Amino acid sequence: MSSLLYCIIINSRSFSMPDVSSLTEELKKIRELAPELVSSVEQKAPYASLLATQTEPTDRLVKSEEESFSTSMPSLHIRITAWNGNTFYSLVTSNPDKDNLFKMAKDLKGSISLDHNGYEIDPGDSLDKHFKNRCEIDPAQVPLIEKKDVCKHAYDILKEYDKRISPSIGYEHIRKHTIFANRSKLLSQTNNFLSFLIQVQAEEVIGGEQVRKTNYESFTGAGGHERTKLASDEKIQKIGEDVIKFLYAGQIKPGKYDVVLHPHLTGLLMHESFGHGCEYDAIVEGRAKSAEYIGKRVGSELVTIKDGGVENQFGSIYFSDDGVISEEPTVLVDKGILQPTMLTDLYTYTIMKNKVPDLKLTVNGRCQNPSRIICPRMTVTYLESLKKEDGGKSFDEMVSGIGDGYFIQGISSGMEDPLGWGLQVKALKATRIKSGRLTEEVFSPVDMTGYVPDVLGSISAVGTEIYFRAGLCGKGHKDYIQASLGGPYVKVRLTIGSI
Amino acid sequence: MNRIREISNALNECEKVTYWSVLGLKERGDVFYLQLGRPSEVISSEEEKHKIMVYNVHENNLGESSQDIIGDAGKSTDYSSVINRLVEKAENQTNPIFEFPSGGGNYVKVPLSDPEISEANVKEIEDKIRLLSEEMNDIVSGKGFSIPRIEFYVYKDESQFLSKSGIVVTEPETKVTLEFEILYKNKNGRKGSYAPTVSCRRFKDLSPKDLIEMYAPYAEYSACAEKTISHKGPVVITGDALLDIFTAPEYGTIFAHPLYFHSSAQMKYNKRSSFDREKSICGDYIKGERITIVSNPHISFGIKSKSFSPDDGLPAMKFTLVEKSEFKNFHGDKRFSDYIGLERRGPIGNIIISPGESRFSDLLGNGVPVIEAFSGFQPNEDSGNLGLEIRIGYVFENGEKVPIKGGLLMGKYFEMLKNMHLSKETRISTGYGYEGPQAIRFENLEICER
Repeated sequence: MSSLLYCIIINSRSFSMPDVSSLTEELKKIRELAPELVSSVEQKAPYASLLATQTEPTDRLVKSEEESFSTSMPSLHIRITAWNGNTFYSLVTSNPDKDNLFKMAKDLKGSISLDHNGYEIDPGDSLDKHFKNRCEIDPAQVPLIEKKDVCKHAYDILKEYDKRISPSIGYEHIRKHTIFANRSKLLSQTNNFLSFLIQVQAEEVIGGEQVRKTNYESFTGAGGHERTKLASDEKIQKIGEDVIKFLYAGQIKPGKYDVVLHPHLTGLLMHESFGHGCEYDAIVEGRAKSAEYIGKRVGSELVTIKDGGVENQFGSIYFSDDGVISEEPTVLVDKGILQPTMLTDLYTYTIMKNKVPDLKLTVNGRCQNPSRIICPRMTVTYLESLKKEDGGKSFDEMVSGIGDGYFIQGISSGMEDPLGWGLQVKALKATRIKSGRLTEEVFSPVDMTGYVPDVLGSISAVGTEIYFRAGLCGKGHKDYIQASLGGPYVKVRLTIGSI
Repeated sequence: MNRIREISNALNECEKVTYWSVLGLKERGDVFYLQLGRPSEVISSEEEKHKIMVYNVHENNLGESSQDIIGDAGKSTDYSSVINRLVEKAENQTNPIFEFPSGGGNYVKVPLSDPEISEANVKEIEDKIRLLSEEMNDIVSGKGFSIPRIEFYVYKDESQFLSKSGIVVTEPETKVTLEFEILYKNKNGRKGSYAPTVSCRRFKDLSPKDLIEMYAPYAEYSACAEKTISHKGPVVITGDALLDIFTAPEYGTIFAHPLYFHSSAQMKYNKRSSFDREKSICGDYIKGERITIVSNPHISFGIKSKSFSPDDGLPAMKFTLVEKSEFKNFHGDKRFSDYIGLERRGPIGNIIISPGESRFSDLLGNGVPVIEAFSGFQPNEDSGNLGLEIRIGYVFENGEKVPIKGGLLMGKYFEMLKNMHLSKETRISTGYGYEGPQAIRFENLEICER
């Protein structure tokens, strides 16, 4: 059966071979071999697949007191997987040699024992396609000296602005390729990302105490060298201006306040609350409270949280590591009500689909690299905005509607708690709002906490435009993957403090 | 020919390379993921990679550049083009020159490899994992506890370092990392959980009984905790939370921790460290006990043990980081130690903190919160600002232990070391590379309820 399907794919490909020229030579060869490798394992296993990822060695520059121009960490992982009815067994190698790959497939086939009463896997609809994200200026074509100048320019602006500032400018191009194949699908994608990060630290003795403050801005995201243009001279100088202001910043007495959140922090709040809270493995294992709240209210009517379906962001993927094509976004919370549609991977979907008829296989089966497990992970998680005519508010309207409170911006970090619904979010900066007006008084850093349903329930105004930001998402404290988060400005009440 | 030798020969042939080093790593990893007691994924991987470091001296300037090479097994690779590209990068830098490491040195051979792992095949390791996970499930069964998720990561590595000056060192090591979720459901149906991660070099150092004894109460506290508190004053930190406060993160993320960020020779050179030798790490006016911290990479089967530094190939050394709250030595490689004009101390190893003067029971008190675990230890490494959500803790109220959860512990890392009391009782946590007080009472911290 599997051999027949394999022939059909081969034939259909011969008519409409996708342009895979953006792949590396190694991956082009692996793409060609993939159907045969899958087919050879399926001579025994009821389902097999191949996943290969490669990050190319590209330029990585750091300009601080020290200059460092190295090459980004390349990687190559080729994973062949066999399903025995209950468990995915995989062998992974970094050696792309054809003989090695066929030996691996043979070893895998020989090592598994089948469970004939196990679960069946549907390989999905037939598709042979290659995807590539938008990259206007390929960093690989930009001379090293030009990249050095971009870093040095930002460094010099900050050094000249104030001698107390120690800047550190990081530039790294990431070009990542992925191939997925099963007996129906042969998919590949090339994604370009640019990491451009400006960090500053300032230090001064004030009132006999040594005060140290930090600030940073990330211009990281999908695309190429063109992203460095986002860092205008004014924006670079503002990073320096703010860190000097932070040196003299006061403290916010810890307590509950009305605040306006910058869209990036809105995104982080959604990511930590019902992003992680809707990862289906945690629900299957009984370690996410969401399981008890499906169909129930978990936020105000203004809260609609979605994941995926957004192109050209840092966390955007065209297909998941278990071969699901990205289509419409998954709605996790709709107008404050937790939805039954969760973030699934092939394993959790396969073992639960008969018990939960509404369950969908979504584009969230992801791994840090093919030598790590694939499990449900977010891609691009965001809070939906509201049109003005539907009640969407401008930033100014939110500030004036607050009276006394704070405007909080700049992401430092966040941590999820899917069972306890606790929240730990760290931000770079708060600006005091007094009598409905933004003042010059700033505070840094700012810590935020709260009980998730209370926080989301207190969202009383939502902006009209969504802004996205790049981030790295861990599963607990490990397995970091690229993700994006976003949303509009929101007005919310939560516990904050800055000391 | 051995691949690392092939790369070394290509480096020796390039005239523009003033100095070079190559770090080779061969790794076999087996990952076992068990959901609801049964394996969902079993992954076996093999990887071989080489990190090439190239140094070029030009007009009294130094340039250095590096690249990892992966996927070259079984094929002929043109290393000279890789090296030429690295030289081009190095020629564009204007860093100061340092004295390149010479060969030799006193390498302490530390046993780091468990034959039960290094000589076993995947099937044998899988059998061992099944036994361990069954034992864990047996211990908790019938007591309201369950273990819905267990992940094992079993690695066998061999690293080799070669340099132009003749440094040739090799180190085999094994490592097992276990992450599991322990779940507790009380009589009222309230659930609580905790997900510890522990690492060790040998299977025999992984005791299911000890792990459950340590972490089952965490899940139970989590289920029973109904309150968060606001508090200003003394706070006792113990358990996993204390390990977060003092143990060094993994190699590669070491700068994420305030103590290891500021004690780094590289950060000192980059003018980002506030530490100076022989000066207090927490400013003047120290009120409580002083702290002494030693880095020891020579503990047999220690998780942070090593015989050489992967950065410069020179020996890993035991050294005092902090003595009686005064800073003593920067960690780091030869290059950055030379830049700041101090003797090289090498990388951070296992952390040993001298015990204190107080009994653990004397640190506790009515109304004094005790924190066992944070949601995530994510301080600002540079400013030392904390802001850590309490995941597991308790407070004594009229002599009764009342679990607490949620709320933020706020303070500044180095400020809090100014006034503290360390327990006499110590704990050894090989899994984190920590030996030191069981608990520390910090006198001036603030907790803000959520």
